Amino acid sequence: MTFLSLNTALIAAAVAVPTLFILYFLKLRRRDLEVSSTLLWKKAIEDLQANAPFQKLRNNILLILQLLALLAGLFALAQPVITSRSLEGKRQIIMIDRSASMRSTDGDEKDPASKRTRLEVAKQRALEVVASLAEPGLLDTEGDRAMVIAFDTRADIIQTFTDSKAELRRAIESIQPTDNPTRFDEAFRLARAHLPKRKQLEDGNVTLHDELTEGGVAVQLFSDGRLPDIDKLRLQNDTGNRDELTYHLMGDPKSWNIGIITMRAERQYDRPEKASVFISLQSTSTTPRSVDVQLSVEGNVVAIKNVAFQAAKTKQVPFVTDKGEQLETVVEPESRGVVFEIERRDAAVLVATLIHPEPTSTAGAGPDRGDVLKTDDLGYLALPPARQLTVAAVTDGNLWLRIGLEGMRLSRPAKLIAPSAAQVFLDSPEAAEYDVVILDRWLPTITDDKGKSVQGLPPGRWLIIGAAPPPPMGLDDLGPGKSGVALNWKRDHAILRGVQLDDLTFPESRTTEIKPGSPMISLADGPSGPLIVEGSDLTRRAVIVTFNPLVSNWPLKPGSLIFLAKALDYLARDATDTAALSATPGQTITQRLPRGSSGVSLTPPEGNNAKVTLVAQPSGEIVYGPIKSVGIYTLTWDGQPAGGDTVVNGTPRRAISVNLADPFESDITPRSILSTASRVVSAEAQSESGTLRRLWPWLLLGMLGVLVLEWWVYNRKVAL
Amino acid sequence: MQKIESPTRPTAIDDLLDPRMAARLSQLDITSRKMLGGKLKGERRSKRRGQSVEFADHRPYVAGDDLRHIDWNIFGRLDRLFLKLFLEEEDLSLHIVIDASASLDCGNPSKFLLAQKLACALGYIGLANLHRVSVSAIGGFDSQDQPQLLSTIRDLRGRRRLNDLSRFLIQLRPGSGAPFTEACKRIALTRRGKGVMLVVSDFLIKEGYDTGLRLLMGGGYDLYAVQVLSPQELEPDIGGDLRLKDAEDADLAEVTITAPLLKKYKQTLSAYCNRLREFCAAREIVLQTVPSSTPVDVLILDYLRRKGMLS
Repeated sequence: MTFLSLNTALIAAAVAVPTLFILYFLKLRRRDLEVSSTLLWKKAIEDLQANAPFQKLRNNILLILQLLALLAGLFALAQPVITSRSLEGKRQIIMIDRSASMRSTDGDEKDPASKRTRLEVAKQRALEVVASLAEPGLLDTEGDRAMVIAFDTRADIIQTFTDSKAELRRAIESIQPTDNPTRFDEAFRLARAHLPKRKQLEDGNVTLHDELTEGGVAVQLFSDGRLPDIDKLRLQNDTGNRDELTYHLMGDPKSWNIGIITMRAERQYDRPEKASVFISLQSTSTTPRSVDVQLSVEGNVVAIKNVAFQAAKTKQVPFVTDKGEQLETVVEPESRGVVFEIERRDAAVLVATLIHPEPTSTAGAGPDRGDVLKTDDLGYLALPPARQLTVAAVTDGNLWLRIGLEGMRLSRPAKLIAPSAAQVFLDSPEAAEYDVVILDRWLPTITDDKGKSVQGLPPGRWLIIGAAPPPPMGLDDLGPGKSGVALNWKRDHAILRGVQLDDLTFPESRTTEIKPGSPMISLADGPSGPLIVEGSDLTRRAVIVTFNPLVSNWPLKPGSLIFLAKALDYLARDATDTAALSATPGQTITQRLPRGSSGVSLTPPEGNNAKVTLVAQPSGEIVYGPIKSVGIYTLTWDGQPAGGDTVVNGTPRRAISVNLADPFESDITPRSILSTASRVVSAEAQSESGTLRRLWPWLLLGMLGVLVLEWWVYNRKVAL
Repeated sequence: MQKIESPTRPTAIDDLLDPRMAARLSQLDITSRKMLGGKLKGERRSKRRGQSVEFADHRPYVAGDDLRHIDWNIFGRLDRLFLKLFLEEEDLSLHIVIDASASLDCGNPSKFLLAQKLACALGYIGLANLHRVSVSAIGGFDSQDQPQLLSTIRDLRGRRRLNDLSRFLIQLRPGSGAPFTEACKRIALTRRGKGVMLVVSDFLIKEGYDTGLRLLMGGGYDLYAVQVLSPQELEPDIGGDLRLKDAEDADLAEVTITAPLLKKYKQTLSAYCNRLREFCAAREIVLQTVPSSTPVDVLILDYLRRKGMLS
């Protein structure tokens, strides 16, 4: 039992109880009455007292009752409350995991038939914690304050610190599930950032410290423990005090999930109308299971394949927690892949659906909940149409480049433009028809923020050879560099895979430098700085070769042609690859529409009701996010379609698929032990979450009852 | 029981004695169980043979007797001298003692007012019957507002003295407390003759009434006592936690009025009255206990007459 206003009650008791006694014994309330004689009264009193040995006690019954009523009142003033668990921190941070795994329908661990999600149960238990928070006392004490944070990949403060239980309840009830993966560290840092700070003067400098230097942060975490970054979490504040992390575990360790963890499609290089759809599946079931994978193209089922899983392996991992050594059973999910071959030239929306056989009850194991997470039972993919690259090159006649382009499979021969006509070409709408533009020893001019014409890259995909555009989308050119050879390069990068730079020698080069913070990364370094760099920002993507290949031995090497093909393929990937048309929940959708697009709207999977209108930047860039649910998002706009877009009723359309695609999130086995960077925390037992019972209304009721009794006794005594 | 802030005080003789009642009282006379000798010839038959119209007896003549009283008719018949004896008519002392202590000044109606009326009515009867009427007041204040032990008016005789009697009664101002025994002692020493003495009091006397009454008892007086109690003393209508203050000696009693206490009070009162009655009965004192609400005519014409004080 705790008292909310103990001091007030003690002070009141110190005043009231002696006052009652003084009043009683001094009998201040006696009324003076002059009578003819006190003779008979005195005799009567003497007789009465002589005859009744318990008379004193009977006289004192009123005092005892009054004392009882007063004590009940004082006790009520102290506002006693009973909780089955005492919350030590005065400031609680309630953090609720709303990530995809919390949609699992095994929230109610004890009732397999219940289809309540983990999030629903988490919210319910968070409400219980709110109910158990100390309320502010009537006079002197503050109540417990709490804030509510919901987190998935990002953390949102649903409610800042307040002692209003109504606001906390409203905040908790407003939390909606998402399909996002989980990031906890950021949420925790956000929580700590919102703690009230205390100024402290140290050596003449004012420093800010968390207000709770004594007890640290008291966090109530409601999660299933699927927190991939929990090992980065340090439960310690800046003064070295431990933060309290109370972990409320949701979910049933026996439940299982089979989900799609990746889905992608690739068109065959030589027969682009043929596409292979690769689907990776993961099972966390500790019994062998099979599932049917159904693939539909534009709503029509085209194939069903059965995938059988062996039982997922389990292992016992020992942890030393605050409560001693504990063993946790960790499931190692089983993965399987399935490939569908389809033939389709046009763009299409592919949907993979997992069809589970009817759940059966296994003897002794209780009823099977079945696959508890539906989010990853569907996989979406936006397949771009079969098409090949279009390339333009600004060059004054480069044999190596011309031969290289001629040897490549392009949808039409590369357009070669003389540098003198290049700026006009780039400013014309025709430039948008080309996936990649090659700039051979020539740089375009753009208008900077101050209206000046400077060298730089306009939006687009660029392969720049023998020149270095200025930062940010480029490098600092510091003048002529040394001759030499390539010193090191990234052999595993998509552009340089299979490209040998061992025998590359160049008699001249430029001294270049990547500015810190630049989006550019070096793929190959020479003696005077980067030789090959690549980078991208929202509107531009570029691969830059800083030396002039024509004065090196590189054109004589076959690797140079491979580099050319790979660089073009890499640059144009977002125009031809499914990867550019897919995203995961929690991310933002970033797409580039043709210049001049207007009236852009995005239809989420929820349908037209949730349609949002987006404003495209002048470069055609649109950004939407963060994405909260999986499915197909459809972009429509007024204007020209880009290379891979379909046109329906004259309106260009582009589909973007959003999948959970997170093996960690699909592994829904709850973790009862959280291993943070500073210590290991185990989950609280469910029964420890108690509700707060206020006793003072009952005490007041009791006080009223005693007063009524006292009044009755008094009246009985004085009844004439 | 409670003291009345501004009690009704008589201001004229009519307040004490209603003329119609006076007419009825004229027919009454004070009786005494004793044939008492008075100093003056009165209207009261005496045991003593004397000069009156009422024949009593004869006796043989002896030398020296008044020849006027010889019954000559008997002498003619018997030839012997006999004297005719007549009953002597004597006057009677009526001494009324009023307790004028503060305790009498309580109650509603006032006990003292009843005492005043009773004294006036009985005094009137005494005066009308040519008795010697004296009235003493124990306690009270004198004209200078000083407490006094005793104030007395003596030897009133004849109806003409009714004004003196009533003036004395009207000017009595009850208050303070006086030692009852001391006052009785003084009364006993200073009274004259023989007759009837009436004591009007509530007899709620802390020092005790025994000695005082015993002193008054002797000296050839027939002693009557009227105990006046207020209705509030008989049936208290008070409640709550009280500090009772004695009107006479300012003694305090803190009481919480409860049902058992009230019951006990009544028992105590009853026992007190019984003891007084027994005391009086043992000493041939005629006692009548009346509430102050009793009409004075009822008290006189009914109660006292029945008790033999009046005829």
